[in-house]
Amino acid sequence: MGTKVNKGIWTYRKGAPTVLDKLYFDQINAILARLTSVVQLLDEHGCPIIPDSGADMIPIPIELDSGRPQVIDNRTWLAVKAPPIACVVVHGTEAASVDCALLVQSLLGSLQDALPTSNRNDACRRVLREELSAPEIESTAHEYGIPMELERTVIVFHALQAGRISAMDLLRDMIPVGDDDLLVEIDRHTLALIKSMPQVESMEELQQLAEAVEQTALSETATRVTVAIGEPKPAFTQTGESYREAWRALEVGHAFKPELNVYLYRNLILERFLMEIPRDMGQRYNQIVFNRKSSRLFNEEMLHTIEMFFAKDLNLSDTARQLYIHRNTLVYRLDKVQRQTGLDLRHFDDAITFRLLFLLSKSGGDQPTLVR
Amino acid sequence: MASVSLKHIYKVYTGGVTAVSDFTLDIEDKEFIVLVGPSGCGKSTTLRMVAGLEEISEGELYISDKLVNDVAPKDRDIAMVFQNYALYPHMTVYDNMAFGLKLRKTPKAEIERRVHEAAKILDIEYLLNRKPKALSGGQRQRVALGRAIVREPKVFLMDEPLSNLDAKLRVQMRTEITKLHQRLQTTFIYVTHDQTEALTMGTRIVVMKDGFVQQVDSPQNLYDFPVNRFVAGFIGSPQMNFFDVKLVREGNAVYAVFGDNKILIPQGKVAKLNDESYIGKEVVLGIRPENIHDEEVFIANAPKSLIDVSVEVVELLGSETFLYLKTSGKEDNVIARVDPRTVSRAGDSIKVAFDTNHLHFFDKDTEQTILNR
Repeated sequence: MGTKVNKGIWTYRKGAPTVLDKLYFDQINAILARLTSVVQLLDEHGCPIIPDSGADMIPIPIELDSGRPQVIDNRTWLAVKAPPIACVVVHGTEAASVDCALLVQSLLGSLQDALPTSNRNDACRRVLREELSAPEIESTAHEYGIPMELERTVIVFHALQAGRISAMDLLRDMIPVGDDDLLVEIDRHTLALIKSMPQVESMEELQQLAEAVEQTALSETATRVTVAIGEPKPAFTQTGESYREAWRALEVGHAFKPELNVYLYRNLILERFLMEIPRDMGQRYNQIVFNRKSSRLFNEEMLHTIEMFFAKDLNLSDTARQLYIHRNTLVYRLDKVQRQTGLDLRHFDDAITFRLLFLLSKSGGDQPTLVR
Repeated sequence: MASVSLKHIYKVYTGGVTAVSDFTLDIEDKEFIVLVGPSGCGKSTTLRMVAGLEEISEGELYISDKLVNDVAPKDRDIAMVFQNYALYPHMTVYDNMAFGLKLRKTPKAEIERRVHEAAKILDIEYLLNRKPKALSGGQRQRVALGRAIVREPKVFLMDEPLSNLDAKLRVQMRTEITKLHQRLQTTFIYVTHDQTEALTMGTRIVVMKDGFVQQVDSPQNLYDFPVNRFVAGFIGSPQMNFFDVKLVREGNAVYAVFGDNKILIPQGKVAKLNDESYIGKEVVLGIRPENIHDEEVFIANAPKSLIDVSVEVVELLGSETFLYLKTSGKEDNVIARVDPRTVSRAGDSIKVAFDTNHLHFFDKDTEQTILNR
């Protein structure tokens, strides 16, 4: 919670104000100073933020409806969502005062979009990158009106080939951002959506959302976007962990399932485990089957056949149909693998051994595959 | 509406893997072209090059006579429908269909007109206020089609749009897409690995293998006159039966001999085989399952085109029956599609007759057709 010292805006919050804070408030001050009506902007406790006069706290009427001007005690009140500003007060009750309150609300909205969003973005990025301590995160959350105790999941959108246009410009309109969600620009190529979970029914729904964004980006802009989803976390302080998981899913997914574009951290358990096996050990075991002697056998066609056989749950007929080869051709190929390696892929145990040894060629995930 | 012209198109990936080689095709305005072939044949890559999702390594692509190799995908006036019909889960069907237009800043009234028009075409007006979770797989796929239709593109590109649906729904949607093509009167390019889909939907079909076009033709011509063994085997289900045979001359007659079997080849076909100097050599004989008969009347009338077989499996499908047969000189089963009233039973040793007017012959080395050239 920020320390409140009711002595004007620059001491209003704990810590030094940023350049953007100053720009924001300077602009509002300059505009309001030109109005003939007397306008005050209050925080949620009724402390005047603008004008910077050191005036006393003004109790905010509890019956205020958000977004609707109300006339109470010779003043026009309007509750707004422009943290830290919570309320606009215009001295007067006539129609011009009501109009004035509404104009100030619009002004706050547009200025907030232009300036402090970047500031909030910066703060959220630091939260996601786990650069802030728990008290600092709490303070940030308070400063930007972000609820602390709310279940959230981080979804990372990565557009490596974004070109001249940043991922934010490319995807902003395609990613639905709810009232309690936060869309954070991580870098030119990457966005993170901190998605509040109470409105989300299941992780499957998040996956559908990710797929919809990925496909919209592809069909509308021909940009390949990869999306990764972390695990839900109960508090804002833990969103960094969800972000880390999403990144891990992206790295592991790229290494093990490059043909996919949407990855869920929870669906990559085996791949994450294999990624953590040291590269030299992985290679050693991989070479038990994939060595110089077998290199001619495991050509592109053979590997594609085996991949399809696994994808079809070891079903010979389905695999043959999908590959458009005769069932006997498939049996012949599997027999060849058995003769060479001793593994009969038609049997579950042998199939799993083969698959693990094959995947081990991609082990050693200590080296990041993506630029974070 | 537009014509699409692909001229000597190549796709070569970094590392030298060639996915598509020398693809040349003129697609006429309002045509329904199907690209078909097994996994990895380059059909999806070709489609993605038309869409602009893949760069063209070499060759020229024209849409409505305009060279579009370097035109951004959004400016090509095409719409793509993918296999995975991803919809925004929190949006209604209306909003999902309108979303692409909103991104393009289309006026609201225009969006409304287009969405309602597309919904009417697809018969999903009653679904407009529903969310995707309240839709069946088929309805979702219609909405995905709707998203493409509202763009009013010159060309529709569809990449295996039905492969995520169950078999029954796939058959239903197949008809729906064909009807849609008739209603929209627009050029469709459709990719599938399913030859039945290709045969039932396309006005012309492009069969591909290993990045090369094998044959471009109407469905009937592909079925009746395949240019090579691959096309002959790929088109048709169950697939054509192939036999490694030797062509033997006995007097004026020429026989195809395999194992203990001997089939008399009609004179009309002999002439061509003779011209091409295949008599006395080994070739591949092909015959479709429906051209192998077990009816007595047929057997009586074709004494010189009979083979001895043992019946291994009888598959009754209601309107037809498949016999899986074993014969000498062929390792695999021979499949015959016969009348469901057949008296043949598993374990029987019988004779079946080949309808020799429908025999195909392929060169053993090149696998190219001998008769249909």
